Amino acid sequence: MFDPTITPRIFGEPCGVDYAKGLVTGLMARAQHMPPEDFARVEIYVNTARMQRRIRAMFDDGPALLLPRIRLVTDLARDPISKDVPPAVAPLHRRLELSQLVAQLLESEPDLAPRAALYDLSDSLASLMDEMQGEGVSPDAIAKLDVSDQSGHWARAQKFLTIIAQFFDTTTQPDTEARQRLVIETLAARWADAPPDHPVIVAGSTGSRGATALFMQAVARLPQGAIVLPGYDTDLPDTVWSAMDDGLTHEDHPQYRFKRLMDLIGFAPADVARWSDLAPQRPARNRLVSLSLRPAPVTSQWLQEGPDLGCLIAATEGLTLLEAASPRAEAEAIALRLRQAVDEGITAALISPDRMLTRQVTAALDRWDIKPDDSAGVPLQLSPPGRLLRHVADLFGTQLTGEALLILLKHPLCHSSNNDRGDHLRLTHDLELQLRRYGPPFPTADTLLKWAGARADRQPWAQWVAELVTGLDTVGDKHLTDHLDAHLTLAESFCAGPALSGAGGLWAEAAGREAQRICTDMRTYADAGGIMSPRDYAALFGKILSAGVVRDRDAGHPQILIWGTLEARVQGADLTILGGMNDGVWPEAPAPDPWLNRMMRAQAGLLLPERRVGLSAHDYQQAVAGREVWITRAKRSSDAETIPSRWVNRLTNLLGGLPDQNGPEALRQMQARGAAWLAMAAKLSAPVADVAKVKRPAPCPPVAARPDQFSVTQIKTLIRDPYAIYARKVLRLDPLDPLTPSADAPLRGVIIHKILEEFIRHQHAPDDLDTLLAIAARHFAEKCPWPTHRAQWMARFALAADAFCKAEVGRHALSDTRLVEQEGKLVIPGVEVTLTCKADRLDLTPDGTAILYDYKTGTMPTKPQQEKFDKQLLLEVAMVEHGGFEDVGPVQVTEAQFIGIKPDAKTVPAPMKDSPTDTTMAGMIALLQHWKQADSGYTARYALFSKNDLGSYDHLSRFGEWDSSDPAQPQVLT
Amino acid sequence: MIRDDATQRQVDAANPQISTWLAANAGSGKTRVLTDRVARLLLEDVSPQNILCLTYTKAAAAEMQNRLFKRLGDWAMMQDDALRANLRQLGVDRAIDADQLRAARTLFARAIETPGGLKIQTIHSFCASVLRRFPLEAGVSPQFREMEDRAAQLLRADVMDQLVQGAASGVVHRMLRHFSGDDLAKLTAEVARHKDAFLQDMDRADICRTLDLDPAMTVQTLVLRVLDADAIAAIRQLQQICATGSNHATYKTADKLRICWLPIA
Repeated sequence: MFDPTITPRIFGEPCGVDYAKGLVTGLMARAQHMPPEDFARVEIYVNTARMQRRIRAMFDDGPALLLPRIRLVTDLARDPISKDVPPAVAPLHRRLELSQLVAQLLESEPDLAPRAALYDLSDSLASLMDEMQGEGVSPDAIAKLDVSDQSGHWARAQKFLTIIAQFFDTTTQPDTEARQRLVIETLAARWADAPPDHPVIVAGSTGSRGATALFMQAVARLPQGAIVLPGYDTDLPDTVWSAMDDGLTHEDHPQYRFKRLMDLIGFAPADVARWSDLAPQRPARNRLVSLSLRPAPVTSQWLQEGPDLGCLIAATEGLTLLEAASPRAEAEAIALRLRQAVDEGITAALISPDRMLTRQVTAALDRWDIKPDDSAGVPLQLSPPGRLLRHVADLFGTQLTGEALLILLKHPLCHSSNNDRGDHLRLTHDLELQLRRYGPPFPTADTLLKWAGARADRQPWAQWVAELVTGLDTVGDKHLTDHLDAHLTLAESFCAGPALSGAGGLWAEAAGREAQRICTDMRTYADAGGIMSPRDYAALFGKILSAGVVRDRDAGHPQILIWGTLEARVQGADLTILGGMNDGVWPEAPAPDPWLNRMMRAQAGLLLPERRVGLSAHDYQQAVAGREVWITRAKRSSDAETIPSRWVNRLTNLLGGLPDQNGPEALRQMQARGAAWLAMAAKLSAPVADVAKVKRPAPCPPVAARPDQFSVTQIKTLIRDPYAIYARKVLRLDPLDPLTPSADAPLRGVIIHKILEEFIRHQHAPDDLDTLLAIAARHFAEKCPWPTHRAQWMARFALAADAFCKAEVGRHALSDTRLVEQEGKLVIPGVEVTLTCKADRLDLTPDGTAILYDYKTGTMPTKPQQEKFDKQLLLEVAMVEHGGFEDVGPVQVTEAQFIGIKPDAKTVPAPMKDSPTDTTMAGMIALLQHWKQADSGYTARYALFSKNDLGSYDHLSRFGEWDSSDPAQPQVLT
Repeated sequence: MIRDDATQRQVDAANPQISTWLAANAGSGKTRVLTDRVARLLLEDVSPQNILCLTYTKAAAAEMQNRLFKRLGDWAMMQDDALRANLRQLGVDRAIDADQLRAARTLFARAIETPGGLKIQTIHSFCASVLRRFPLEAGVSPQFREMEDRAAQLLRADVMDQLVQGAASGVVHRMLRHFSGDDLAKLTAEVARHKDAFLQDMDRADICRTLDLDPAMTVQTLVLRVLDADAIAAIRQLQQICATGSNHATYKTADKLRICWLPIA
């Protein structure tokens, strides 16, 4: 194919040329006189699978012929080139081995690093090891570095680095990177002796990794070898090329990789020829961008070289700069343009490293039912099987909560063997209502069996669930294989259903297959792991699972593409949108390296962090050369102003500083084009209809529907917030109990009431403090499963119990019979409303009178509050006196008191002198008569104590659309 | 060059050769002085990697960086005369030749392409980056994440649960006898915040020494130091009068005055 030459054969394609198309065009042009079988022997090595597919697609568009062999450079790592190169070790195996060694090191020297950092440290070490093997840097080179000013830190780091030194012996199992380098060295040696006579071409690679550069060096020396560089800047003058000599200062320039290749392989900029004759889409823009990206020491020449660019309005044709006020506005504008692209029938690609942005754009496109073809796919840990596996992993080693159980039972993959999820969902629903209403907060197998009881439809299902959740909280430290087995068995049982084998739908579909692949991988290499706690295991599993990606190549719209920055090289889109061009996003902020700093890396020959910036810059340079390009950024992120991407900053600065060539005007036009789209997107998001705010409700239901039965504690609500009574008694809506109950004041109150009830009912001596505390301990243990709160409440009760007993002696002296939890009922004459109550304690004195007590664990109502709102005790007095309590009959009440269960044992009496029973009854009759009228409205939040008080029905009354100062709007309901 | 007072003060404050403490009202140009100072440092050939600016808020950091880049970017595209005037105004009083003008024009790209980024950041992010670079010394994982308040709260509640059920439950129960509040979470948060202070063991003698007290002091000796014999006699008299009073309030006062640590007269 090629004429013989002594210099290395290097070709380049400029930015703005469809690389794959150019490659194929050039190939076909050079192969015109080749017989088909010789053409089929051509070997092309490309850098990514996407490039491989695109080249195939280009060939498919052309005439029928025998295709050349297109392989990936990274495939060389798996090439069985010779029996002297052993097969590679699986990466997972190596990482687990490494974590074991790090664990041993940490055990022998515990103050070296915290134990919890074990897997992160091994991960970090593993990536350092990969890099060292890829670049061919041996551990000795690192050990010999001059670190006189870092002795303390270095000594620690060295201890870890000695661990990885043992994995550099390539005669045993090498890692993937090491194997690739080994294969390439073997291949190069073989070619040096017997070079192949068929053409070998390396296309689409910049040689940024050491192993790839070595390969390109070998290919360049072949008699029929050629390198085709992507995105080669033909506008860079020779002076700039020769000035790019120092890696430390120039690594971030997009073309630096090629300079390094020039040094390595030995060619000059003048030797790089064009591969195809396709013209770049926008040559003037290429020159502009090339000038804007000049390395720092040469930017003083912007003023001189600027005029050579010509009119900048022509140079920035097809370029739009979109500066949105927020990331959301940016995403909406991009989505709008993509929608337009579908209409125009062109291909549009959004290139961005910012996953948040691409997710927001995908969500915005959902409005038009467009699903873009996202090359990154969905992360596996967010797919259904991924989530199920993670939830199951979290079950081990902790007490089961109702929430965790229901999450699993409601998961779509649970009980998914046959198509009969209906019954399963019904039973889950019943269980949920049971757990919410009656608890317990930490259900066990017994709870489930008790709930099932004797019902035949519930029993088999409940037994199945009970078996699955038995023994989960006692799981201790085990080996990784045991954890994994138990985990996967449990997950599969959850998905299969009662008395069924198999795994239900867990491993079905693309996501399930990917999850199965990863789990099988783990199973194969798990014996390299060690003993770990359930929590560590869950963390490790989550990390390994997150490496998986679910990609459905056929699901997305063929015209709307979302790419990562590396795919910019492949190109092929009519419209390119560069999204999220802010510093820190694109280019990414370099991650701080815990092992070696920049100088040490440069000395050792490892990759500098700026290398990634340089590669990103190269991706940018190629992407911005497309036919129509949008550069978008958000001026503000959620907290603060953003900083524009450095390349955009350079471009806008260059444009702004060349007024003689209409630079500022060109910049303004770029921004105006963007602003027009932003305005359109804003209009699209502006609300169309104006929904009027609701007024303060005061519904007036018909008299027949109004409630005719109240408990005495509800009277306070009737006075303060009638709407709550309306919602509860007329609409019959009760607030849903939370799924995870918390240890709060109402629960404490209920328990303390039960304790005191038992103490009084069993007639213990009033000063028998020990029995009281024993009863308390028993009740708290039963009803409060939260250990800290239980201890706290017990301690507080112990303080209060002392004072209670002392006062109780006095109370015992006054009475002879004590009745607890008496239920009372009284029909109010005239209004035919029944009042019910449950008196905490009713003491009967020897002379036929009664004393009423009510225990309060929280704040007690004051005298004015009792007279106006909190009529509970006064009403109970009235009920006793009118014979509402069957066992007692109508007796006179001498005293009624609230007893505070607190260390100071305060009591608050009911104001019986100021509000005697007759007044109370008259007031009650008047109140209830008012409510029996058809036009009295149950106003929301009528007379709450504080305007910050929350009611249970505030969302129903839409509090917030109206406030406490708004008048009520009565609404007569029929 | 003649400048007015305010501008001269700004120029003086921006002189990178002297350490400066600057206090000024809002809107008087403090950020501008900082930006000028960084610009002058860069003009003196200081490597951008060796400059660190710390701010309190992310907004301030971003604003300062943007302003600095705008200033340097303007210089990159200015003609010689305009650039010279600009530098004079900044406070560069020495002679500026063509080489220096050229160097000034390259500052924009040099600052933008600083390896590791030009360090204008919040104190939080600076500390986080130091921790990430030296995780072994800091005793953290190299891939640590900063814990949110809510996660910290849940973690502390978990730890308390384990303490209550574990070997230290006796200590917890003793503490709870004195704890009368509702929410243990606030107390545990305070303890965790001052964890270092709790690590040192202090006995009574140490505490007295820290508070500058005599270890042999008792309540009685303190009372005798504060009240003289006349005052004590007056209190006793008052207590006796209140005890024979007719009002419920005076009974309570008498009770309170029956202070058992009053020394026997």
